Amino acid sequence: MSVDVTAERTSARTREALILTAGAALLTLATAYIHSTLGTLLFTLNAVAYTVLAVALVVPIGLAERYRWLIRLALLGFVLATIGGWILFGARYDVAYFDKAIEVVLVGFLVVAIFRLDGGPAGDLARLRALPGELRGMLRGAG
Amino acid sequence: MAPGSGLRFLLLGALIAALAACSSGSSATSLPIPSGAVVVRVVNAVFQPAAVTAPSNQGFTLYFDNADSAPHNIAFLGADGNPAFKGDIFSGVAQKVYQVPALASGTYKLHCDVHPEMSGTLTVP
Repeated sequence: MSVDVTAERTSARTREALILTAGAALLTLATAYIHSTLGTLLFTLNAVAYTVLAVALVVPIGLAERYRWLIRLALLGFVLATIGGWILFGARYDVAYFDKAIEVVLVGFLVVAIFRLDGGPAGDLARLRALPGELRGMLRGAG
Repeated sequence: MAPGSGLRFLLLGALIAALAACSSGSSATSLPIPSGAVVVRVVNAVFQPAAVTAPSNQGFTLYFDNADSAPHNIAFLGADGNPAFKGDIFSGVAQKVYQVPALASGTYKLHCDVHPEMSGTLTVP
């Protein structure tokens, strides 16, 4: 009985993780595509960064899986910086408003994912504190 | 491999397919240029020509040709930075014809709201 309940919880958690990750990745790709259509180097670099982060969110390789929490944080920082840049300097027109709506929903997905999958800001803060030592250990191991 | 990795592979494949589907071509027919119009084009996010002249003390016709697929508009900014005229933002390849009201003599900055780094000047003698 308890095994069934545990398995059910694990399955629900996996489903939740997939929905949050897939949603965030698709929204990230949507805003990447919109930025890629705007021309000029700045928008193109923005689109490339979004695409790299979207792929990093889902790519099934060990290093990315280990640091998925950091990728989510980086993406959250990047999308907030992009929204901030638009508020300060961006043009106000239909495509821009649509893109900002996508980015706001993306922020929502990332915040929920950080709370549900990474243990919230406290969990991320603890991992960030441990990160330098972890990286030193990895470098020593590789050396 | 961790549980759920198969699904992640599927998801990655779907993302790549979505990206590939996003590339598309477009074709458009050009609006004719009205006679006597001031013509400004945008090619690769550059106003061409970079310096144009408009008649003084009278309105004029502006033919704005967005030759890029990216969205652009054209505005004439006065010395105070405020727009004396502002066109709509639209994606190319497309053209628009505007009737611009008479502008005071002076030099105006050509401006695109989407790409503020684009530059040019309009002189009204």
